[in-house]
Amino acid sequence: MNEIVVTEPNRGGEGAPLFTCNTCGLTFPTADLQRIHMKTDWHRYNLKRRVASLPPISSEMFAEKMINQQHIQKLAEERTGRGSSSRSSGQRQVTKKDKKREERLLRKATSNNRAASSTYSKTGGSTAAKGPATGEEISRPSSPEGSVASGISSTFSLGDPVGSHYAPSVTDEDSDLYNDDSEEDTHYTKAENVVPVPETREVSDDEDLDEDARIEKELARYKAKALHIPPNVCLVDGKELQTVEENVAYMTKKYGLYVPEQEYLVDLEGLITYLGEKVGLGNMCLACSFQGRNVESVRAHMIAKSHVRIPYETTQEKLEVSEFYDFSSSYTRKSKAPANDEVEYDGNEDEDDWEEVDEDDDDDFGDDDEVPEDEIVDDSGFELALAPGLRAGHRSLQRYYKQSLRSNEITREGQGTVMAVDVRSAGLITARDPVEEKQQKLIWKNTRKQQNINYRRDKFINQQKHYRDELLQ
Amino acid sequence: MELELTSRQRQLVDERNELVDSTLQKYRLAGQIAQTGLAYVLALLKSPKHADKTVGEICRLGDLFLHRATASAFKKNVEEKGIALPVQIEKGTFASGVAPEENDSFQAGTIYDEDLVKITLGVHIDGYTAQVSRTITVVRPDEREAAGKAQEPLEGPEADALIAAYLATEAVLALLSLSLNTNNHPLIAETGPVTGTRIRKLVETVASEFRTQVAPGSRVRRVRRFLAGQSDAVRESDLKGVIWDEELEEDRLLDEVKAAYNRATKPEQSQDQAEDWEEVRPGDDFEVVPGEVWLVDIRMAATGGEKGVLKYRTVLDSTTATAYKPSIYARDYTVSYGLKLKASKNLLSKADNFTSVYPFKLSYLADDDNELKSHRLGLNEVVQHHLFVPQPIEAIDFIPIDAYQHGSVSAKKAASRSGQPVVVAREMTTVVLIPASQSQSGFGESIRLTGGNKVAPPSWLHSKYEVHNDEVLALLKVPKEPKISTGISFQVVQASKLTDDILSFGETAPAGGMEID
Repeated sequence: MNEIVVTEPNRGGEGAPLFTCNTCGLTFPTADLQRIHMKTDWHRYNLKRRVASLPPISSEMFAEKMINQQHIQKLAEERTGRGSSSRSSGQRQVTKKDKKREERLLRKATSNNRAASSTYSKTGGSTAAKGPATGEEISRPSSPEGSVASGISSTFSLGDPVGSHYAPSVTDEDSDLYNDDSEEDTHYTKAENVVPVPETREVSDDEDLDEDARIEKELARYKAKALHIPPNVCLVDGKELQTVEENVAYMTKKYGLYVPEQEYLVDLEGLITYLGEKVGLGNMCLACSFQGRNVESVRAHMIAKSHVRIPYETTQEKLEVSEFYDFSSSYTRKSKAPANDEVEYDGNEDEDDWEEVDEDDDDDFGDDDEVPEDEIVDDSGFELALAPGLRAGHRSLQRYYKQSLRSNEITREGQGTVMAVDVRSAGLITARDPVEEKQQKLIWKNTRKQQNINYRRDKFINQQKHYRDELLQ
Repeated sequence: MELELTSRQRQLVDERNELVDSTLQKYRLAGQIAQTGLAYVLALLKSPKHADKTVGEICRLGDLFLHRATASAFKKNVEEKGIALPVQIEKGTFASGVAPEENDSFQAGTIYDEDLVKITLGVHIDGYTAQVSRTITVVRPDEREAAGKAQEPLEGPEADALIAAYLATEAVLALLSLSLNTNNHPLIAETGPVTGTRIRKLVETVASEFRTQVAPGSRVRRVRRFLAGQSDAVRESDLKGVIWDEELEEDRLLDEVKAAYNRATKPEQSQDQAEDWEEVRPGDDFEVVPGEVWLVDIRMAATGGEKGVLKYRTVLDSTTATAYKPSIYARDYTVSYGLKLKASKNLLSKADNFTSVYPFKLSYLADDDNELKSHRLGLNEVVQHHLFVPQPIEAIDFIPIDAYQHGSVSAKKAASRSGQPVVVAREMTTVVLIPASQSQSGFGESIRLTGGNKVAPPSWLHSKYEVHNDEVLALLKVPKEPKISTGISFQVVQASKLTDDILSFGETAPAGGMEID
């Protein structure tokens, strides 16, 4: 599609510089004209079409589209009953950029002139957008037609391959829809798609736009826009099926959705509901970080990119859906444990070497020939929890397990009394007074602090006897 | 010696030893159980039903009785209670540690009529300990009647030792009680307060009156909660009491011999050396204070008037020439060691959880024979690393002074081989001294927790010696003096009545290990 656009013949002769617009297939006698053209919405629109590998349209067609668009928007405004007085022209979809700018302005307005802002607040929510619009930053100097035209251009659909009503017969051949799209396919998106989401942001100027409020605002917007997708409805084309399982089977057959680790999946409904929320509420692609503007866009994205799949490769991806899985059954492993307490698992089991940590001495004595049922390696990877409450430690930490640390715990009064008076325990147990110890610790802490202060002060004292220029060395 | 203790330790060592009502109640109960236990063992020895029983069997029956009796006492508030000394019965020349387990090859023989036996046992309730020991001759009237023998008194050095031990104990008890005296009793007013030196002198006097010798291991010492001198595993740093130490006694005797030898050769030089021993011995410079509890443990060796050294010796099995396996162990809490064997770890944890700081037998820790076996397996390692201190089965040897050949050090070793076992009489009792200010009656109260003639009547003995010392005679009369004149009321805790039920449970009781709840 990127073949050279037919240009008008060189009328300016060899000497005259040729200024062309490859996108729209035009030539200009002067550079100024070319520049002006580059700033038009027509050019922008064609540029976008070019990116989408579509042929450019003529200026007449563009004008026609504009008129249609304005008409549709007017209709929509009438339907929603929202005064369009605040807008100089047809309502356009609020882009992120716009929102950001608005917020910036609002913040500026509130911070600059808090007193004056109280007067704005009287005007009500519908004028909220107008208030800040009085600021000089609202104008878009980049476009000669002003912000309006560019606003419209941004709402033009380049021809959504799939409409809001997905035909159930959409097949894989249709996936390269963009390429087949001829000009007549390029239509305005259906009104219901274009109709902007109801403005739920009712920002009054005096409102403190702190972080929380903004987050809430954002959430509210998302909720309003959200499409609830129940677990028995196909995520991609909205087809309703009897059960969740049927739905999954349908999606698998049609879009190649593959549910990983199905044998450990315990909450299929939860998983599909979660995915439905991801698509319907978050407008997020299942597989990548793409976030669509609405449900339709994300659905289109998923079909086009074959992203109807649950990513399950990295730990993070696995963790995302981990709550619907239960892998505990996979930990069960039969292995024969020797009866002795000091166990060393043989290397021929494809385990590392483990050594049993004798944690509690008071487990019942007897022939402990039972095979540990559940062996679970803990997070550190150096300890193996065995079923009877024993813990096996890794051999590499053998030296630490072998330490016999003295426990100073005195549990019974008899022992305490005897140890208090025994000649030999004088060196073993120092008389400890918790209160005294606390005071001593405080003293140590203060001393350390003082030392630190001294050290830091002394650090900046110039110890050099004579000045030495570093550069002259 | 002043100890450096935390407030918690102070509370344990000092506060809990104040003779408040609950403390006294526990002491009395411990005394009562010990007395009943003693009466029970005595009844077993006398009874014709148990005539063919070995020492081991009777010891175990006694243990079982004590265990049951303590288990039913203070069920709620008291964590530590039970047997403070396993029942030990030493026949003839055995001196200590005879309490055979069921499967031991050594059962210390069968007890017959006229045997001289020492019965020792102890009970503690919440650490408040009552220990008792008594030496008697076994009398079985039925057997004698059947054999047509008339009852005769025991005579000779053994009888002298028994009498000396008995009278020394009574005299020391009276002396200790006199510390409560507020009426300026002549025995205190004239000779001063009750000190360690005085106690030692008193015991030595009685021993010499009956031509016997005080055996090492004898002691008159203060008892505190959990600290009753129950085992060698506890070495108190602030021990208060008179101890007859084996080595010190030997050294003293050797010095005497040397001095005598020197005197004979060079009469001028050695005068002061002999006098050294007349001075206050280290540790004896204490004073008995009302409000304390005292243990009187007197052992008298029947030396027959000869002078010599008394030494403990582990008894060897005559057939295998190896020492008898000890059966009594005590946990040494100052030692800690990471044991290797599972069996030993189990044994140690069981001992830590189910016994207190008192000596115990392995069967106390085992529910069944299998467990006992595994305990035996683990025992070796535990003992090797000094976590348990065994109480060996010992006898006391008498080594005549002549064997030392003028006290030279090289002669010491040679002499130790020439010892002959000697019969030792042992009397042990515990007494609580309540000052008049704390007692309800207004008199000082001397409560004898264990012993006394009512529970264990002395055997019929005959000695050709008698007490001539005035102080001893006066002391022996003190308990019989009226309360008004002494200001002390003497009480003895008595045994509860032995019902036929109790006496017969020996026959129905399981022969195996006992249960520990």
